[in-house]
Amino acid sequence: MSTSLEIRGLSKRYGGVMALQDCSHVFTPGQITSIVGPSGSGKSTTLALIAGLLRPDAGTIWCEGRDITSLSPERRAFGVVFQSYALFPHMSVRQNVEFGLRVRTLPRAERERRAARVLERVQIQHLQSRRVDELSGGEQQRVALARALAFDPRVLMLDEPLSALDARLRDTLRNELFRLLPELGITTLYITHDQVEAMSLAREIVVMNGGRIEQTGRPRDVYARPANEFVASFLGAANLIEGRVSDRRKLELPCCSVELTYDAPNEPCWAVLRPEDVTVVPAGRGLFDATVTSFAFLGDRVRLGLAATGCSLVADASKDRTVAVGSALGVKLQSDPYLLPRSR
Amino acid sequence: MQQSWHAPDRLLVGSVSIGLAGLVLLPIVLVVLGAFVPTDRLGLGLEAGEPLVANAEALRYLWRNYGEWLLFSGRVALITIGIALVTAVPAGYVLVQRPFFGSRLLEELVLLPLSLPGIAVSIALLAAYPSERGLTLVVAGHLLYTLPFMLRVVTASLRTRDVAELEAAARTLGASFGQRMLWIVLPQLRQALVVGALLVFAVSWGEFNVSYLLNSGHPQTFPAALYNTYANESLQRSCAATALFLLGLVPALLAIQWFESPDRTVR
Repeated sequence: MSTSLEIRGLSKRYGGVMALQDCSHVFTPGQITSIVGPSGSGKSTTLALIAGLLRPDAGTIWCEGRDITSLSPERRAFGVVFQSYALFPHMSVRQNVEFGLRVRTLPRAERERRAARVLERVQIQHLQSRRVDELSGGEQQRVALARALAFDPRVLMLDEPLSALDARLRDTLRNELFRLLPELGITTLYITHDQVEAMSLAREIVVMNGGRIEQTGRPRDVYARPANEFVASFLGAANLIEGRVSDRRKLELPCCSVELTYDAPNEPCWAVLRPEDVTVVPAGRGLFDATVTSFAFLGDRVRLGLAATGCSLVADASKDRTVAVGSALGVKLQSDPYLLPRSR
Repeated sequence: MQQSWHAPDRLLVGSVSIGLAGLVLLPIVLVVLGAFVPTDRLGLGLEAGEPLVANAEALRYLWRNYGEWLLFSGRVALITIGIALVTAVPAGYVLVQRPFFGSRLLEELVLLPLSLPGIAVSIALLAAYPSERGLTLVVAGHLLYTLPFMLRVVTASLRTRDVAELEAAARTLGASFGQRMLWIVLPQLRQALVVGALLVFAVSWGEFNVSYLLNSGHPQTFPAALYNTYANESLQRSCAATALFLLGLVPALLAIQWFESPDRTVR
């Protein structure tokens, strides 16, 4: 049975700073939810509150229909993988993994059986007698995960578990987590500032900024239909161009006007254009012409900086393309821009 | 990490080290030599006595004269270490892990006795505990001078090792307060407590002012007895007694160096 978890109106203040303001969310039982946002957005505070390591100034936390706001962390049985792993340096790998079972006074044989099972699951059974400070970053990360899983937690929480690792190892471990976490079927909260990690791993993402939840939903939906300028620019690269809709279907941008295929309210707006939705063609053959201001080779593609009348934007092109900075190109849009209302 | 040294660096480091060592050690070396060489040859002597020879007879002589005081000093040091440990661990834990309004100020105030003259501390103790004398009062005096060291070692260790995060991890794993103390906090403090205990021993072993003023009768701590020896007996004999004093201290100082060396990792 997967555990239900809900936060209602959570707020937390540190001195004069509001770290979290009135955050509510129902986490899907048995699924992975990514909490994503820049540093200082309140995601780690949210984790600490749910784990019980901090007390909220307002709001409640519900688990299995029970208000657990005042329950101590040791009685919540939520497994946490800390950003720094927080492994016990004076214990071996196995002693670390068995810790949650030892405090529950499980018999030795049972402890050993369960530790062996979880060590095998994260593929570090060969390291069980090693001291944790002899391990690499990736191995420590696995120990931390094994330790959090060994006592069968009701909820699993991971706080930026890959941020301390180099890019290649991060990719490998991300793929392993991608395989392992859904198998577990535990309600999982995955905290990260990396939007690629958040979108690739989770069924649902919660985008946070400035202590507030900006948007929640399936990664694909949030990416395609961001709720505001912050979400649009934080999740992936986005061109935000000031425009205005007139006659329901006519989008006026400083560089061109676009016939929309759907009706939109006649009002000022932001046109959200993803770089992959902007294609470049020879000058004079596109919707409008632009000058190349930058050129970056990214390996699998190239990213172009473009300047047109009244706006600048970035576009992705095939990796084989070479373009001189300063040359002129035509710009086409692959699909209708997504529109966000703009005040003023 | 290997560091390459340029010649001028080596010269500077070398001369500073030798200068510093000479400055600190020369008087001590002279006093120890005084136990074995006629003191007038060292330019110390007021009288030319026969040097004490390190043989069984000499050791028996020293034990007869100073044994009781050595034992008293040892007892004071051990009791002080015990009380300092039992006090500083919970106090340090509260100051670091559960800071409250004014806790930093309190932490600094504990250092105050270190800069007070011994006479002031002694009078204060005599006024505070008018009915106490002997061992109890001497231990109380030594605690005022040693507890700050122990507390500093404990708080510094709790802060640098980020014990707070380890404890947080233990809490999420279900550990009660007692289990966290026993299995996380104390093992993390083990090295610090050994160093702290040795520091307390070194300070207590050598403390003179308060011991002498609080307990002018019998028995004396060893440094207080040393004072009487220097005042009443030959310089030769006093030097020999000082050598004996150092014999108790040096192992503790070497142990502190060993336990504090960065190559040692805590197991």
